[in-house]
Amino acid sequence: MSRFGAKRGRKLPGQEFTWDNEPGAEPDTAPTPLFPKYAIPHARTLNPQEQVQVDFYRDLRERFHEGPDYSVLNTASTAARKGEAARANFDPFHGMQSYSGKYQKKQKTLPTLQGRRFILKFFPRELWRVIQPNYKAEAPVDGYLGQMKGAGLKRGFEDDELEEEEPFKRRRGGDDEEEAEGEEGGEKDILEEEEEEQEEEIVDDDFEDDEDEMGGDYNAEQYFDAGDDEYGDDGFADGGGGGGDEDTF
Amino acid sequence: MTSSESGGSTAQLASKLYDECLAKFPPDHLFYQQDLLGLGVVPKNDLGLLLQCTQWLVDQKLFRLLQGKNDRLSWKLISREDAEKLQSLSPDESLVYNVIHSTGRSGIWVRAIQNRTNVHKSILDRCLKSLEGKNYIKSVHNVKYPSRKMYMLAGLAPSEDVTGGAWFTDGVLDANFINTIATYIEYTVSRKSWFEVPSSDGPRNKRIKTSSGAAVKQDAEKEYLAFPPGYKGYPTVSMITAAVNESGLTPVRLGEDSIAQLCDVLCYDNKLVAINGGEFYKSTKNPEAVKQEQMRKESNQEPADTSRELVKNGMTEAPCGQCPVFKLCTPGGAVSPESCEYFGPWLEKALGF
Amino acid sequence: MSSQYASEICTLLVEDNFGELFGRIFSTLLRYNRLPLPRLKHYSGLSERQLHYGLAAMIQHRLVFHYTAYDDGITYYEANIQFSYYLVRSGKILEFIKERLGDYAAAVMSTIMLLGHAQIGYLEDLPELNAHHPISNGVTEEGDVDGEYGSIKEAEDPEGQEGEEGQVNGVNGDYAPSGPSGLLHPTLKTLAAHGYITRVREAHFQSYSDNVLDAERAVKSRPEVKQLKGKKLEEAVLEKTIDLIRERTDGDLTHGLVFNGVPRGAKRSHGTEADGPNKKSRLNYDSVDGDEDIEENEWSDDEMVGDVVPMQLSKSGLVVQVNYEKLDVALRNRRFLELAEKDASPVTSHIYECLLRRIEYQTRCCRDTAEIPREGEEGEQYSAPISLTAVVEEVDPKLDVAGSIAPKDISQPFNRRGKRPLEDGVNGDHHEGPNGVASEGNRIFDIDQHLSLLAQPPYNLTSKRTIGGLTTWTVEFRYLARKLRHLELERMVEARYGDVAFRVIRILHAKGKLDEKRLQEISLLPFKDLRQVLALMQAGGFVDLQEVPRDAQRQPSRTIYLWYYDPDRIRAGMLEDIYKTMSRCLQRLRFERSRMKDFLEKTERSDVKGNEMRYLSEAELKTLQQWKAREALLLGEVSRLDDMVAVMRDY
Repeated sequence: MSRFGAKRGRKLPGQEFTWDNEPGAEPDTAPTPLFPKYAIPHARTLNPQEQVQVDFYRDLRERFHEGPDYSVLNTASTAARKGEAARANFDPFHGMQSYSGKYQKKQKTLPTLQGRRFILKFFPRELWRVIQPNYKAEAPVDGYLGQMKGAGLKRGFEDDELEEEEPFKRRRGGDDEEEAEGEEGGEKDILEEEEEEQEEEIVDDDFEDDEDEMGGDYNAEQYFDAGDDEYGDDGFADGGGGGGDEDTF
Repeated sequence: MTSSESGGSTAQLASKLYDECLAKFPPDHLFYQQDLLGLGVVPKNDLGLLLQCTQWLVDQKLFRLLQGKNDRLSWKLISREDAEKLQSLSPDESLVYNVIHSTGRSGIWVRAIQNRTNVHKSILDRCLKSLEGKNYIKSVHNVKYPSRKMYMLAGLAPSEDVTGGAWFTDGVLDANFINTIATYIEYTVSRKSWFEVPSSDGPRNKRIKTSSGAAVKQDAEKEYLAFPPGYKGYPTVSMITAAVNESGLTPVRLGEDSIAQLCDVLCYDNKLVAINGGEFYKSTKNPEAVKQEQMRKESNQEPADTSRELVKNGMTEAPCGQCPVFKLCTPGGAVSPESCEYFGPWLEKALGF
Repeated sequence: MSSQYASEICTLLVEDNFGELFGRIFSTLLRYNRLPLPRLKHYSGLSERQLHYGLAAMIQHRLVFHYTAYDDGITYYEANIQFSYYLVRSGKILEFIKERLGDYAAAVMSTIMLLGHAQIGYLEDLPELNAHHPISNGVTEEGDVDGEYGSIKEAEDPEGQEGEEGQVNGVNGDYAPSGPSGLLHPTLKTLAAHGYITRVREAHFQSYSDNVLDAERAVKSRPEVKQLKGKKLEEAVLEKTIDLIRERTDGDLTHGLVFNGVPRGAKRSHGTEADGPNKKSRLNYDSVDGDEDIEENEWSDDEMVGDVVPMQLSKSGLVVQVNYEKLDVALRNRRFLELAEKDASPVTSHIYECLLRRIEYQTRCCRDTAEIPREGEEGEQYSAPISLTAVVEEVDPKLDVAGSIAPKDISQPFNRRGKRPLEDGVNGDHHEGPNGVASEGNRIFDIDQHLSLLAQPPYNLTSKRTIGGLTTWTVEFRYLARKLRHLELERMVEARYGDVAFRVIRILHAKGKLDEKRLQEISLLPFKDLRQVLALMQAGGFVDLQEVPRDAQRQPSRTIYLWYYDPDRIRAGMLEDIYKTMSRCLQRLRFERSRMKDFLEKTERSDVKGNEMRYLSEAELKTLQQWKAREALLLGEVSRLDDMVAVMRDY
């Protein structure tokens, strides 16, 4: 009796409502195991139709993975949150480059936008410059701008606003690039900076190309190229940490 | 003397009246004054004399006085044997007996007898004991009020309201009996719900395939076809009842109500389907499938793969579907998809490695 | 709007298919619902560039909605939970397309999925779709994918020009029958005609509520609406908003491609019945090429008239996407067919399939309301009626429709091959064809009989309607969708608690609230069993107990306890559990993968891939094969769970 009492005192809340009131099951007074035994169901094997479905899924997924959009987060990137010990995760055994590394699947940290045809009107203006590097507000690009205007007119009630918005938004696009370096940009900063940066926007036009040539701040390529002099200065900090041990697939 | 004489003649006349009633009317008949006068036994339709006769018969427990329509007096016959029984009773016993008698096949609760007779509890108990001892009444079990003590005449079978129908034995549901009959019904109905292709036609080559590409009927030894819509040959409740009663499975005759009740249950079990709002019943499985299923149940085997698939869906077969710690499971928690101890065996079970 | 577990599974799906960057953006948007770029940057901890690139690519895949406010010009981003969820159904859809329209159509569809949305002109340039030999099995060789993106750059300008020229030729019917682009256009048209792909509209990139706001604003600014006041105004706005949204989001491409209720390029269902040699060439190119002239023109004409945006880009500028709504209709029909196959003969099922197919052509989406209505509050909704003759047309003429229904009178001698004498003489003048096939009249009658069989309980899969003396057949969608739902729930109950529970649930469902005694009377179950199973089910949340006190004191002894079963509530809870289970399967898959990471990375090395036999040892090959099987089972499980989600949420 007293034993029961003592147990009851320590009972976890809700324990009395657990799975053990199956007929014939003994009352559970012992500490609950993390994974109590139960009759694990038997899964049917996939029928041919399901197998085809799964194969299609896998195939499409693989095409996504091989495609331009699959991108991982690079722990060594500037975006790694403080406190997240990216470097502590570095695996000294597998993080090192090896010869066969050059065959290893390369992982991008940014989708490849270059060389794809985007339909501008489906995207918000602040991204137009991203997807169409040579986009200029004034000149119709591939006729899309004309379309955009047409579409704008179709809406009817907001043409005026639209016209006004245009330069404003483009400016924002320019700013964003600046922001990329300075981490903690907020809305207010942008608004303030807008005034100053107005002139600079032309310069921003080749912002895309720059990025691509530099390869950005991620290091997929670097990693593989660096394979020869793997004991290079920042081999550990940058190259290895980024490419090797990200738990992604 | 005259009184005794007249008493004698009244007795004779009354006996004659009783015999006439017995001869000319069914035993259950409710007699009104006209019926009795119409027998022509009482001379000159003397109402006073008639009253004397009936009173005598009532005293002799050969007649039971009742109140008929519009508060008219009416009587019912009591058989001579019963009358003898009754004559031997004390007035209290007689009172109690009559109350119990009046409730017929429904029986009556002890407390209700007390209310109606106003007899003291101890006397009532004594009366009941003595009546039961003489085997005039019996106590019955009412399914609706299992805790109440109830009585009815010994010779009567309790009504279905009391017993809960044919499916109860002593107020307890007789699950085995029900299952036996249910199994029988399913098979019987099934045999009449499907057309068995005469074997002379030979097993058909299965050129018809379902969209999934799997032939529905594999090497069909027996092939069954559905009857056309509007088919009238499906069994009705009365046909099923007759079949059950002839089957020798039931010691008592089962009524159509009971069978209909069981058929409904079978519908809930998805074994039968009511057609035309219950006019006919049709089984969902063909006889062969019914047989296999029932054999499987009898031998308590693991369900065959095919029948097991019917109760399977994504949830029932996933290890999480019935997982005891499903609620606690979070990625990164103590119980998590990574630490899960069920996935491993689950994969192994299905794949064999 | 989105629950915890729905969010979890959608994020996992996005991550599984597109990697962590998308996953991070997506989960941040889900958590904060709607964010402008700077806030998104702040919450996600990603760089501006990652966001720019990520968002652009995600919009391309319609995983993210965007909306630019009219007043402040700020663009907001929002996760598109529907489309992200549909990633899980891709395999099922592709398999369906393959079964219905063949391997090449599946390959085209897969490519459209791969691209998110795609311009026809762009598809024309893809080498993988224009290869001389259609890719077998709908599976692309790995090399092709790389090649595809490599070639895009070159293809950009001059090639695009050529593509258009090819088009022009096509209009004139100058296709080389087996030429590279000979397949693409007919296939696209077939897909469009079936409604499996639709035109992409700008409104598709905004969430539904944003579209409502936009449309409302537009409607309110119309002069004729401005004049209205009070209730009239409300009504007018409501009605016109709906109209406008419909107009703006309408991507229907079937117009002019459907003839007599049959989409262009549709193959008769009996096409799939054909065996051996025919199977490979399911796509009937001959017939497609045959009427190329006319239809090609219709396609383009329709294009010009129907499009709101003037097409300066030639018709190849048309942008298409997968129409999941319509595919849900098709997949739902498959489930109905499965129900039929359970009990009915193969012939009957085949005829049902024919009816369903005709119905599918005329059904745009599974239901009108956004949410599944509560039980009992749902009206009837019949499908388009299909005339009996149309069904007959669809049925394989070689199918023996007579021999699979028993004679009405058992005493009659029974003969196969339709020689059964028709005792009721529905068609008096029946005479048999030379080879014993029943006459046309009998055939129609027999097919009608099969459909009548399906109309019977318990499933009532069809219902007959006579419209103006013409026999038609329809399907009551809502009833059947409910039926599917109930069957899933019942299946769960039966699997978890046994057949006693199954009976109890079905009784409670049919009868409503019952006290224990009444429940026993109906179920004919011993009290002990009954109570036990009720208690278990209550613990599992499948049944509930309502207390009805008979007096104000609410004494337990003076209280009636009623058991009831509420499928709506259970469905909602179940859906969450299913989402969670799907997530767990995917997470486990990820974990299993990480356990074999080194090995799998080796198999994916560019030198090993495709040359597994050469580079891997026997043991490794076996490990790889086992891994594939394990992955397939887990993914298959997810797909089965998705079947349930579809039933509980989409159908």
